[in-house]
Amino acid sequence: MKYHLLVICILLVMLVGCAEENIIEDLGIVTVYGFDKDEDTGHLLATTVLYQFDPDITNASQIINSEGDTLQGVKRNANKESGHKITNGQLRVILFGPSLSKEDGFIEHLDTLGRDAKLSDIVYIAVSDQPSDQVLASTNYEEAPNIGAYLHQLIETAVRNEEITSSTYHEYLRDYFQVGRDPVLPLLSVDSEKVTIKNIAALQDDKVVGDFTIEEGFYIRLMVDQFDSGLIELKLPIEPFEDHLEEYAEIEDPHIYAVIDKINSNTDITMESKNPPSFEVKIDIDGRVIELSRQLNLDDPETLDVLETQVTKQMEKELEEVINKAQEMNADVFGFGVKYNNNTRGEDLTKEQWREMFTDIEVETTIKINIERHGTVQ
Amino acid sequence: MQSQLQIPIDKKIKAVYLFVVLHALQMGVGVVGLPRVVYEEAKQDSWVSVLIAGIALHIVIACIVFILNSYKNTDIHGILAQIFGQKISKVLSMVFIFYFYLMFISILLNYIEFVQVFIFPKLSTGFIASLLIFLVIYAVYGGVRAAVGSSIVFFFTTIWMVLLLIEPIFLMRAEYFLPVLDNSPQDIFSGALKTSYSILGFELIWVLYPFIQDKKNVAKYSHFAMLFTIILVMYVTVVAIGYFSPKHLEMKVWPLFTMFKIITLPIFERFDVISVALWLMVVIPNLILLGWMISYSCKRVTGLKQKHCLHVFMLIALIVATFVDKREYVNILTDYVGQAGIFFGLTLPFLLLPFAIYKRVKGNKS
Amino acid sequence: MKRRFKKSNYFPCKMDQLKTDLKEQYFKGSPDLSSKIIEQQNNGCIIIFLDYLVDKQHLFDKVIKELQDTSELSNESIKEAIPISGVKEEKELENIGDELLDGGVCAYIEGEQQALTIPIPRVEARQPERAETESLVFGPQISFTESIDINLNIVHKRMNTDKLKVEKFVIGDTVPSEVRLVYLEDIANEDNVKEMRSRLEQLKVDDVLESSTITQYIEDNSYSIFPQFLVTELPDRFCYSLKEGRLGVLVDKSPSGVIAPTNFLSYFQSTEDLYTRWNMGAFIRVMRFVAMFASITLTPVYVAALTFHYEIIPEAMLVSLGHSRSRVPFPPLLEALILEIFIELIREAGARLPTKVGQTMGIVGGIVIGQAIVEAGFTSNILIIIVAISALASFTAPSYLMGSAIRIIRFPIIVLAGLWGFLGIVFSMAFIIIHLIKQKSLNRPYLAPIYPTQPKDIDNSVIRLPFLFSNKRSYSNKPKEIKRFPKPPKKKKSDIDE
Repeated sequence: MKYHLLVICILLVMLVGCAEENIIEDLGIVTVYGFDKDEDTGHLLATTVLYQFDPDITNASQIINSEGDTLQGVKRNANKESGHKITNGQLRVILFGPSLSKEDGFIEHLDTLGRDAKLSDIVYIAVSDQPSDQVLASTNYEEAPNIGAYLHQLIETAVRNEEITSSTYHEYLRDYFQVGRDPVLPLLSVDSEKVTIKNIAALQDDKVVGDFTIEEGFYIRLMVDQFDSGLIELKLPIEPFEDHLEEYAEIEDPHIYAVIDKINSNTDITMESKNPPSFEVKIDIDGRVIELSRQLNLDDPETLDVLETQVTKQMEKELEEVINKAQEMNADVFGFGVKYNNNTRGEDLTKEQWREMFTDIEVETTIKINIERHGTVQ
Repeated sequence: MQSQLQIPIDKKIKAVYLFVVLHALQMGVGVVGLPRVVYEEAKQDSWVSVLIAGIALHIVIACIVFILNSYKNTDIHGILAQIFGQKISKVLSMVFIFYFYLMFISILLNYIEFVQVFIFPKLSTGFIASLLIFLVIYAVYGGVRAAVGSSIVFFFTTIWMVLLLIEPIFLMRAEYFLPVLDNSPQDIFSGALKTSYSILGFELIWVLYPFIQDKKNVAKYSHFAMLFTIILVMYVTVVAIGYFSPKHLEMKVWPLFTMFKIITLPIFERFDVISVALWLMVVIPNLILLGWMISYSCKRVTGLKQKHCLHVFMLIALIVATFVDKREYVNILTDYVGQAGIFFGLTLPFLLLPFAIYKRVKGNKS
Repeated sequence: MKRRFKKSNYFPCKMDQLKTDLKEQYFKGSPDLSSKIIEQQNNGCIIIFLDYLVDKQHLFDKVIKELQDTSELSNESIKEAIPISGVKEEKELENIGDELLDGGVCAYIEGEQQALTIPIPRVEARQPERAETESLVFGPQISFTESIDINLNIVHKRMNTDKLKVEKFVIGDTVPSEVRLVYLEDIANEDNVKEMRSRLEQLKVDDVLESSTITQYIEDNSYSIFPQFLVTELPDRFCYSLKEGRLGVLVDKSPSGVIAPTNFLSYFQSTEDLYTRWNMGAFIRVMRFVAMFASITLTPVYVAALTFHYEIIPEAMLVSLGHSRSRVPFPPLLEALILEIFIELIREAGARLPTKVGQTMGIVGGIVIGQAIVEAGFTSNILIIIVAISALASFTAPSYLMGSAIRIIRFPIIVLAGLWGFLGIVFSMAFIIIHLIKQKSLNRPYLAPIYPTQPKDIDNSVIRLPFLFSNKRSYSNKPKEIKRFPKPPKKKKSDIDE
């Protein structure tokens, strides 16, 4: 009797407990979504890059263009063009074209994606300056299996080399929800059939308001994160070095270029006064000289001293320019607002309030640089 | 109901196991959602709330151990019987059992919801419940030794997961903790109350006490267990506050699993899927210990066979799990259990304390 | 089952009469009952024996020759003359028949009141050879044989101490077999000995067959797939376990000894770990646990990942996995099951066939068919690798039974993984763990020293430590004497270049 019951139970369990199968070869595994808006109809346009595995086709990568009003609608329409079930579990990059990122904002699309637990939190969010279907249609993606994998590698390498700040789904949303800090995203562009990271886009919430060059991005990163092995190229005036040059040949250039790498930085932002908001930024940098366009004897402490002062001066100048540029865009990518908010007890800052204040904040920067080594050449 | 229990020596367990057993019963489904629940009340000072809850927990456990030590070889049912007499104590014991049973069902339903949200949206609630209940019945059949043993082995097989939070730790930002102590004491205190669901489970000692061999070490190891739980809860809370920005954290229903989402191992691209499945091993000791405690208490109070009690309780749990599968019901149940826990777990010991003191004083005089 | 004869004294009788009576009444007309009559001047003597049970050499040299040489035939004189111990006088036919079955010779001098039985059994036993199923690379190579005398001899020689206690049991109604319980008196736990003794005494079966069958009769849970008593063919492992405080059981006609109580971890230990240096031993022990874990989980994880959880596959593997899967006509579950069964087939065929053919079969099966299966698109090549690794890993367990258990429990786990993905895998793991916790071996917890937790036993279970630190027997065995030897005195710390 007992055993009969057991057998019946097991059979029942087997019948009830049928989980939804996702067998890999039946799936269209999406690696990148590109979203745009159709200016004429107002529909959402999606470019879906996916793997689908067929025995006879060697190239597993497919690109499907579809349109619809909601994300799920777009997905369903895309599925009409594919014999495989389209799934988001291996999504690597989400790309927004200028029509969305500049005008309408894209946060609602991210939210729907995030509701699905299948989506990873380490998906990179990026924007492009051309419609995203053009970006994803580029044909040169090195040895990567498809454009999605290439974009993922491209962004990840840049992040690992500390060229741009990481902008994963988690990090973007975290900055989006944070009052007093605006997110930055990599701005992709197609150049002769190859996608490159062109600039760094600064956003107000989910709208791009302007962009910084990668070099300017260095200063943004300097402010929000620590460097472990960063690299910067500086253009210094020649005059202060006149006495220290050891020339082999005549060079006409009125500038001297210095490249500093293995930069190790530490940033400290403190609020000086509340009204008007003013901040003091102290940055300590360690690094080594890897390249100089003119010959300097860096063993000489005096020369090194001159170099350090010039580098500091130049960096402070450039940092201020970047901050001014951000203020012009009114995008607080440095998170001064967070500092402000943290230092005012009992007040809850809103985004709107900070937008009004940010353009007027005063920032004083002090950079201390310490050049430790200078390569194998004296 | 006999008040002094004689447990055969081969059923007895060492007091050291209390460290793992109490901790294992506290850790479970609660900690997964805890950071958000506390954060909603106490904001960036949530860690203070957890700290307060921890101190309260230590006081409560000291109180419970004091009461148990005064009554010697007996459990909560025996103590109630000695204080209130046979008839009233039976009703009280039944209420106590019912509370544990609700806790059992809420843990079951919460875990089922994790699975449905993170892995198999279409897998039926009744089915997952029957899987878990099958394991519970199989283990409880092994008696107290198997129940304690499973919590110990599963503790060792899952505790390494705390190390994986190292990746979220690298993404933490100090700014989310500032300004310190900016919230009103009321908020912080209500945050501390909200932790109750995640730290409940130490009540097991009420029932397990007579089974312990070296009773003089009970206080030591149960305090260690509480300390360890609080450290882990604190750790998860602190990492979650630093990892999410304020509004972001309030959106995430289960911050712990969301934090597991960014973890990649060389052979597994995504750890969250595995972690939800592995969480079965965290949850199953909870269910086994509660299942044992319910069935054993039921036997103590009613005199029925433990097997029969277990079967009836598990059958009802299965039926309830099959029909109550909406998230709102689960949330309501979880809230109720948390609130009931504030009474049964945190307040009850203080109500019984005067009786224990009276007994001690009387015992010393005579 | 003993035949009952009249209790009255049978003798004296005629010589021929004795032979016919034995043949008709006891042996029911066996054609192999031989006899020889030795006539002397005044008296005659008959010797009766079963042809194939007696040692012919002894029969001629020591019995017949002596009988012919003695001048006067009488029981007394024969007893003195024959240089063999154990000569007995018997009165009843039944006893004589029993003695003949044990390889004795019956000598009867006409007119005497009793017949003599002289034991000269022919022992057909293999001499101890190299161990086959549990072979060691390093250390003693000898294995038990089918004779209990030789086995006891080996054990005694390896442990010539008076503390070695041997208890004798005869088990089996139809075919009685000798069973010996062996243990070290001053180390083995009293309760264990009592328990084992009572289990052996209460065992009522027709035939014990072999030592591995006797374990199945007396072990704690016969439903479990996991062996609870360790069956080994290695005398050095057997003796080592005795020295650890465990009990040993030897069965006549069986080439292996039984060790009890055991715990789960001890199935992954080999005496070789002790013979090699401690760091190597520790490494290899840990390797075996990893291998066991890999063997159980690899294929199920493949099945679960490809059926349900495609999102966990690393990007680098996704494309190659997808490509090789796209040609396979079956779902991953079926694909994995087919391949697992195929590997089991190769193993089974290799074991059944004669050694030389077996090797060829292994190559044909493994390489030729394996290659062809992938080419034909029946399975993906990654699965071939996974299945091969997990099969290989399962053979690292030093106990053959445990290795087989691991190989077999993989099948239900694969099925569960195919039904419910990782949930199925974790569920089955949890089930196995709970099962192991509930398991007992000779009433001792099977999962010791994990539970009941005994951190001091780590050097006897998961890893190995230098003998300097590892001077204690396993706590979870509860031996009478825990220390194997006193801790050596600490070496005086000296400075560099002193």
